[in-house]
Amino acid sequence: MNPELRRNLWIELTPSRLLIVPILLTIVLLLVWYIAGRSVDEVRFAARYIFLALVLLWGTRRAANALADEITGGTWDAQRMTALGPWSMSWGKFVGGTAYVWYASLICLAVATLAGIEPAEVMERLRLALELLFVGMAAMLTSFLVVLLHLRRPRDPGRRASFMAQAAGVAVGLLASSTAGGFLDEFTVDHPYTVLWYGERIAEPMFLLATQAALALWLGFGVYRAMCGELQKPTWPWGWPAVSAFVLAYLLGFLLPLERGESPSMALMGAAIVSVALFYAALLCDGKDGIRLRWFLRAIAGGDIGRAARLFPSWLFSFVLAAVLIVVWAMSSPDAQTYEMFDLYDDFTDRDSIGGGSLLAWSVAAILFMLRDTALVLWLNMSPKTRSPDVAAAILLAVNYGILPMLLSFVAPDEAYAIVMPWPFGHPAIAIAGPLATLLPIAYLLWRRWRSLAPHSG
Amino acid sequence: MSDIAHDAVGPLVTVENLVFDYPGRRALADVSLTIERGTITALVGPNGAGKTTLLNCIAALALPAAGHVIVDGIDVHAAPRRAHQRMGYLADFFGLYRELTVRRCLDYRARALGIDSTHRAAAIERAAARMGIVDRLNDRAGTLSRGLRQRLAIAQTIIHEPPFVMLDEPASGLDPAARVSLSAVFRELRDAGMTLVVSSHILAELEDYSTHMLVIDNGRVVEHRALTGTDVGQRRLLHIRLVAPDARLDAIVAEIDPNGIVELAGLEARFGIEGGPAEEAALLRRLIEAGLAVAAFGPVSGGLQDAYLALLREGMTA
Repeated sequence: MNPELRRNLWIELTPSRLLIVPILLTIVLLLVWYIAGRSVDEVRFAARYIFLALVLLWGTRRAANALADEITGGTWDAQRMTALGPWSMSWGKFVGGTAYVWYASLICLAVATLAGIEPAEVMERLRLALELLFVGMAAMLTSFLVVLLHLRRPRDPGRRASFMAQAAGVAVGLLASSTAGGFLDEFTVDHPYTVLWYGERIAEPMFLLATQAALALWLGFGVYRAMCGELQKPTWPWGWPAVSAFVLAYLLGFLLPLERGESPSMALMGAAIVSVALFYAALLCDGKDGIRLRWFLRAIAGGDIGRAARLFPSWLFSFVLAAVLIVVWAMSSPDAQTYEMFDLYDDFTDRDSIGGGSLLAWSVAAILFMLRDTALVLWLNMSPKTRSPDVAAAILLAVNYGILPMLLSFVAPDEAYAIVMPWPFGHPAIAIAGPLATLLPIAYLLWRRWRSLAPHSG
Repeated sequence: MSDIAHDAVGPLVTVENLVFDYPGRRALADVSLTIERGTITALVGPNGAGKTTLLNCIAALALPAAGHVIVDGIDVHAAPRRAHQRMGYLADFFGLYRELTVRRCLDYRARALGIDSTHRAAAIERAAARMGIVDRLNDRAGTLSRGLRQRLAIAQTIIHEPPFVMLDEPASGLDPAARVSLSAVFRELRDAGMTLVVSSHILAELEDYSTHMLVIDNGRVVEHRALTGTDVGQRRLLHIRLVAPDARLDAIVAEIDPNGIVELAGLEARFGIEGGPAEEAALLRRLIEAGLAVAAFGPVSGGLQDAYLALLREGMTA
């Protein structure tokens, strides 16, 4: 047996704990059965919601603490000194650390699946059980992954990281679960629509199940890759590109294949927007330790490809991917006044009153804004005083792209938008000058901070 | 499972041009060194000198900006898991699984280090015996005293009988009796074939068992040498003090070994002698038979404290 799993089981599954949970659950479910007029269906529903409550509230907490407790308890370094590889460490710690939650929740899942089951319902019940299982795994893996990613930051993750990890896990669980009424709610068994994906009509419940399974799988992969970094296992930086490729392929499935004679512009726009979203996700989630960045550049300059690969920042890949897709999209449709662009800027434009515009200039502006935001995030992360640089950066970016354009719409002409976001309509020079006006001072501040943090002896 | 004797050719540890940075500060600046087999190296230096960073890099817990570390022929940053089977590292701040018994703590560690089931029980017994905690195997780790917890942590560190062991401030927080007993443990580990690097601020204690001194300051190796008088396979340095000056001391010492005298001044003499305790006893008998009033006789300490303080006086950081 995996040593890490065994150790966790020694701690988690003591005889008294094993006894308490079934007794408590039996009491609760019997109570539901009695209060609900001896209805087995109500017991089944209650078991399903208790399962969700257990995995989302308790499971995410345990998953976050599975690693956070090791760090605060001073046992993590000793674990890293063992011969356990990243895979054994990941699943041993994840399954072992949450073993007691799984024990309790699987009892609920068994009741939710088997209570009052009819032969005709077997497949549907099985599908629901798998859905709950994948959602629980996805939520807990998210919490586990967030704590792992926090370890890469020079600042002590502490209790706040645990809380954030749990909150992220709950959010992912809710969003991914149809039972919990997330954004995939329409994919429930009561509304058996179909999804058109790469031209194939797929029953929505099965599509949802496959999506949930893929989510859990990729989160597990993310945990494994993050653990590789923690255990100093040499890796090549293909993990994030693989995730990016999957996300792009998954979402483009809703836009492809093109109808005969249809412009690829919409699909390219979709790919560009997804790649930009991936870029910001990587920028805010990946470690941005200025020292590691410096070492990365040093390794590149010294031709040490192996070390450079280990230090390669994932946001750099996403930046290049997004920039390429933006330019390709712009080149496929040079005129800014397209249906897609009007749709994209619907809140800010009156399409009858604007004129001109170049999508190529817009694409350059978009890349400059990404560059500016990268400089801003790095500048904040290199500050020795900022306690939560990524939270601060996320707030600043939200203000820039969410609140400022709204304010400008009241007080300034349309061209002023070019200062706060890529603006496709109007003179190309204004579109490019806008981001430059903020990029240059931020880049200067970053350069100064970069220089001040240059390592010197003594 | 005992697997300490390995290819005995060349140094056990080779560190080449190690560089490690913290924001605005170079913690290790092109550090290169070798550690010979069968030695105990005292790693000393002021706070913030880079001692723990060096140990973390050697243990493959931290990836350096540049440089390589080879332990027993393994590049630790290329194959950290394999390297961990050949080394043990006890960090300054360590924790134990308080809910588990001592036996289970050791059992977990043995499994995690890949000791197979046929050798595991023996490895647990051997590590517990070495650290004197056999009678505590069924106690919970959380109920142990500070000294016993330290012993359990070291037992976990050496359970796989690694040829190379690093300990960062192993005696911090221990009472004097526990420290003395820990010194004896380190000597036993060295005698069992392990090579140790011990980082500590308590120089007098390091002096008890160290054969080599590695001084780090500002991320650079300031000094790395064998400590005179305690070297394995070399002369033992002895110290003699008389009640009153006696001209015959010079003659007797020269007669025993003309090349052995290191220092002779008034009441005191320091000189090297080949052999062990029997030769020391014979020498003492000879001095007393010659009528010299011997007030003190014994081995000279390794000189670690003196050497370190001398380095400080010379201005290590200059």
